[in-house]
Amino acid sequence: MKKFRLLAVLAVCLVSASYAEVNSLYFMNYLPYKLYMNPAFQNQCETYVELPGISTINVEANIGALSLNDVLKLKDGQMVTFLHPSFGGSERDALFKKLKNNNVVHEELNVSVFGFGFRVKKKGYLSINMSVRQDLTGYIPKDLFSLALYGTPDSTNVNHYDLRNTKASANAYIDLNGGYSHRINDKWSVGGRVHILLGLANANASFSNLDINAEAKQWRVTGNGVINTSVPAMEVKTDSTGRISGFNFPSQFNDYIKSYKLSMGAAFDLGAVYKPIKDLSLSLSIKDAGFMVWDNVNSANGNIDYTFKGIEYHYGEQGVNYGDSILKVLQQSYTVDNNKKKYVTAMNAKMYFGVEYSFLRDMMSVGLLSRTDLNAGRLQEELTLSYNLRPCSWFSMSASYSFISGGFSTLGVGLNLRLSPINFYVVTDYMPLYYSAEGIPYRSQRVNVQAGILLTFGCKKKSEPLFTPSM
Amino acid sequence: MRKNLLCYALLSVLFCGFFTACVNKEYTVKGPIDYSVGADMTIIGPVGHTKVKLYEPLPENFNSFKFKVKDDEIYLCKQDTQHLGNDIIESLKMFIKGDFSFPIDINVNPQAKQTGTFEKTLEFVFPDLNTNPNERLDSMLFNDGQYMTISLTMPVSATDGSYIDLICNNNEFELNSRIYPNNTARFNLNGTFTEAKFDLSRSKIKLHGGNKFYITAKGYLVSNSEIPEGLEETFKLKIEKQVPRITYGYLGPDRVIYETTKKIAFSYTKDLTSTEFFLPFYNPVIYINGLNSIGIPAKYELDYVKMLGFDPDTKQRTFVSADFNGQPGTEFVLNYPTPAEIKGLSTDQLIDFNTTSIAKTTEFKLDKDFGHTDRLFQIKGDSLVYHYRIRPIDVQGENISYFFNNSQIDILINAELMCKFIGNKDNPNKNFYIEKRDTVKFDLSKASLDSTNISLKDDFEARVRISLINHLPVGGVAEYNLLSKDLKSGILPQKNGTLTLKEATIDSEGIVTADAPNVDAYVKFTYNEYKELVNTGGGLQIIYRVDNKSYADIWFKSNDWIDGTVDLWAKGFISYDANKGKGGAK
Repeated sequence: MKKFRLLAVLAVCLVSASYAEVNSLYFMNYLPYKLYMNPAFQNQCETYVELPGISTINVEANIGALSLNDVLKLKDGQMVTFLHPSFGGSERDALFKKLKNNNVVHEELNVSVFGFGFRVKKKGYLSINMSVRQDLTGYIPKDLFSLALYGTPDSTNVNHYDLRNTKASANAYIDLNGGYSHRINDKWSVGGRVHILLGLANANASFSNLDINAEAKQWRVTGNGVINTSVPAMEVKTDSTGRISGFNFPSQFNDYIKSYKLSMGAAFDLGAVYKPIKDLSLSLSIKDAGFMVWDNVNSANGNIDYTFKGIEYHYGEQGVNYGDSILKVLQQSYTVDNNKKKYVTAMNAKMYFGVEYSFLRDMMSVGLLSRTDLNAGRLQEELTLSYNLRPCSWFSMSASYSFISGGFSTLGVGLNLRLSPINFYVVTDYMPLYYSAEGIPYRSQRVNVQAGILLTFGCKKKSEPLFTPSM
Repeated sequence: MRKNLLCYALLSVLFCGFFTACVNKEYTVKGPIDYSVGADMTIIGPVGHTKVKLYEPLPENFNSFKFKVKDDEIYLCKQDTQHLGNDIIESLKMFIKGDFSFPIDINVNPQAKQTGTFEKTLEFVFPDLNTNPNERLDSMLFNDGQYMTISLTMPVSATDGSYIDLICNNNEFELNSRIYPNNTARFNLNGTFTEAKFDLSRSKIKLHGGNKFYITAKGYLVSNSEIPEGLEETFKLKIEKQVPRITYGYLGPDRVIYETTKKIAFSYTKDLTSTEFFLPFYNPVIYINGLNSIGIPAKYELDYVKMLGFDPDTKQRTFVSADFNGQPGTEFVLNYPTPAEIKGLSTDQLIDFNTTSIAKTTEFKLDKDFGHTDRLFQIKGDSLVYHYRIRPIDVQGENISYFFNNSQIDILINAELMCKFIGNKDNPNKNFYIEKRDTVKFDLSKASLDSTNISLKDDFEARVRISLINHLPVGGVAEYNLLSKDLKSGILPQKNGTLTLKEATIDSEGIVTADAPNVDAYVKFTYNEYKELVNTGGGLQIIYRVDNKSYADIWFKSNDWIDGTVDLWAKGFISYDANKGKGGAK
C-alpha cells in the first residue's frame, strides 16, 4: 500500500514548473483572474469579492513526460508496475523515449485567503488579493532512468551517468498583492501589480556536478552541491567536524512562532492591453518579476566523492547494509555553513502575450495565448488556442488547446456559472479524458485545475442576443 | 429562452465531458498491484570489498600471550611478575627466637617471714646468631602488637603487693617508655604461677654484633604464710619467631638469599598446533624489571635461559640456550634503598613508614645483541626455562643493611616478540611459515535481495571476479569456495578454486615496499548455477596459507594487508517477485 501511495504521489505530483495559473482563465471575461495574469485587464464586473478559502483553489501536478499509466499499468487484468517482468525491451524503450533529458516533477497549491476588486471611477480598476502558495519541484535527469532501465551495459569500460541536473526545491509563502489598471483611452489600457511576499519556508538542493561512474571494480559518485533551507526553529546538529548529525525541531508551535525571522520578498507585474479595432485585443504582461530574501537559514555545502567497492567487510563485523553507506556518504559529504547567511531566490517570472478576437457581439471569441516561463534559468514556452463562448449572462465556457514546448498538446476546458452574485467556476488546461475507477486521470501527464466560488456584482449584460430564433 | 436552452445544452455536454467521459473501471490503484520487478540488462558492479590487516584475524591473546600493536609494530607479549619479598625475608632468618628458664633464689625477710625479695641478672643468649662473619644481625625495632611471653613459678602463693620488675639496659633492650617507664617492665604476682605478655611494641633490641642481652629480674614477694628459707622460684621467657618492623644487620656475598628455577609456557604455540608453523623471531626481547625495597645490596644472577621444544629439522625434542658473550648466564646489580634514606627517622616514623617510597627499579634487557635471544626461536619452542639467584654484594663504605617486615623484591618479566622473522637461505625448514587458515567471509545475503523472490531466465549468465592484492611480505595460497546460507557447508564445489599469491616486494630489512601484483580469478555461472547460488548461497570463503618462500627476513607491520575485492558481471533477465514465498496474492 505504501508503494501505491508513493506511485500515486509521484503521479499526481509533477511537473514542468509552468506555475499555477490556468491559461484558459485568460479569456474568461466574467472571472477576475485574468487581472492576476495581466494587470492591465479590467474585470467585466464592477466589483468582485473572493471568499476566504473557497474562491481560489488552484492545484497543479505534473509528472514530467510520464503519466500514471506509464508507471502503473493494467496488464491482462492485473495492475503492474512498469518494471514488471512481463514488459519486454521494446516497451521499456518506448518508456525511455518518452523521457526528456531533464524530467521535472512538480506540485503546486495556491489558495486565496481573501481578495476583492472594484472599479475606480470609470477608467480605473483596483484589485487586492492575499494568497497562500506552496510548491514542490524535483528534477530527475534521464540518465537516472537509464541506469534503472538498462543497468550498466558496458562491462569492460566505465559507464558514466551525468546527474548534475538533479534538483529539488520546496516553497511556502504568503502573497499579498495589489494591482491597478487604468484605461487610457478606447485603445490602450495599462496596469501594474505589486506583490509583497512573506516567506514561510523554503528548501532547495542542487548540484553543480554529480556523476556516477560505474565499472566492475567500483561505482564512484562525485559531485558538488549545496542545500539551503529556511525553516523556522529548525536546528541542525553537527559533529565536531561540522558534518550533519541530525535535526531538532521544537515540540511546541509557539516555539516556531518565537523563532521565526521575517523572510520577505517583492515582485511586480506590468501589463498593457491594446485594442486596435473594436473586437481585437492584444495584451502583453510580465508577471512575478521579483525575488525573496530568506532568513532562518541553514546551509550546507556538499563535496561528494564516494567510491563504492561493494559491501565493505571489516573483520568481526556482523552485518552491513547499503543504507548505512548512503547515509555515511551524505553525512561525510556535507558540512554545515555556520554563517547562516540569508539567501535570495528569484520568483518564477513569466510573460504573457495574448490575442483575442471576439465576434457575434462578443458572444464568442477566439484567443491565442503565449506564455513564457522563466524557470530556473530555462525558458519554457506554451501556446494556448482558446475558443470562448458566453451566450448568456449566467453561463460561459472556454475550450482550449495547448502546445507545450518540446512536449505534448492537450485539451482544456473552463466553465463559469454565474447566479448573480455567486459565481461558480472550474477551469483546467489539461482536461483528462481517461479516469481510473477512483477518478484519477491516469493517462494525463499533467493536471491543473482551478475552481472556486466568488461573488461578483455589477456585471455587464449582453445588450443583444446572439441570434433571434425563428420560432 | 432559446439562448438559455443553448446554455443548458452546453452545460450538459460539459458535465458529460468532465465526469462520464472514459472511466476505466479495471484500472484501479486500490486493488492488488503486482510489484514484481524484472530487468533485462547487463549489470556490473562491486559486490564486496575487504582490507584485512594482518593482525585483525588473530585472537587478542594466545592464552597468556597477548597481541599488542604499537607504532605500526605487532608484538606477541607476555608478562609475569614474581613477588619475592616474603620468601627472601623468610630465608634471611634474621630474627631472635628461644625459650629461656632461670632459677631465682628468694631472700626471706627475717623480721617478717611472710615476705621476701629476689634479684638476679638474666643472660639471654642466641647461639646461632652472629656466628658467621658473612652475616650479622645488629638490631631490630619491633612492630606494634609483637610480644614475648614471661612466666614465674613460685614455691609459695603470692598475694597482693607481690611483683617482679624486669629491668632492661637501655643500650641493649630499649622498651617503649609509654608502656614501660624507666625501661622497666613490672608484672604483679598472684598465686603460685604468673604468666604475662611482655609487650614489645616499638621496643628495640640492640645486639651490637653479639648474640645476647641481659635483663635484671627484681621482685618482692608477699605470702599468707611464712616463706621457708632456701626456696627458689623459676622465671621463664619465651620468644616466638617474629619478623620485626625493621631489622638492621649485614649480609655478605657468600649468602644466597633467593634462588629458583622458573618456567614460562609458550602457550601460543598450543593455539597453532592444529596446523604447521615455525616462528623464528628475529629479535625477541625479554625485559627483567626489578622493584626492590629491601635495603640489601644484591645482584641478580641469571644462570641460564633455555627454550625447550622441537627441532623442525630433526623433529626431536631439544633445547637451545641464550648466550651471553659465550656464557650461558649473566648477572646484574639490583638497585636498592640505602640506609641514608631512613636515617634520622623516629621510632614512630619507622613504624608508619611507606616502604614503597624507597623502592628502587632496575631494568635489564635480554635481546638479540645481548643474550642472542634469537637462538631461542630456532626451534619450535613450547617453554622458556631460566634459573636465577639473588646474592648480596659488598659495597664499599656500606656494611649496614636493613629491611622492613613488608619490604619486597618484585621481578617483572616482560617478553616482547616483535613479528619480524629471520630468513634462513641455508635451511628451508627454518623459515617462517604458518599454515593457519584465516577465513574472510563475504556474506552475499547482505548484498542481495531475498533470493526466494528472485527468478532467472534460461539465457542468464554471470561472472564473479575475485581479485586479491597482497601487501604482506609473504606469499601464499588463497583458496576460495562458496558457502551455503548458514556459512557452514560448501555449495557448487565445481566453482572452488585456488589463487597463488606472490609475496610483496620487501627491502633488505624485510619491510614491504610495494604490493604484489594483483591476482584475479573468474568464476562463471550458468543460469542453473547462478540460480543455485542465489537460492542457496550465503557467502564466499577465502582461505589463506602463507609462508616465506623467499627465505628472506620478513617483517610484518600492523598496516600490512590483503585487499580482496569481489565484483559481478551479470547479463540476462532477472525478476523479483515481492510476494513470492509469502503466499500472498499478487
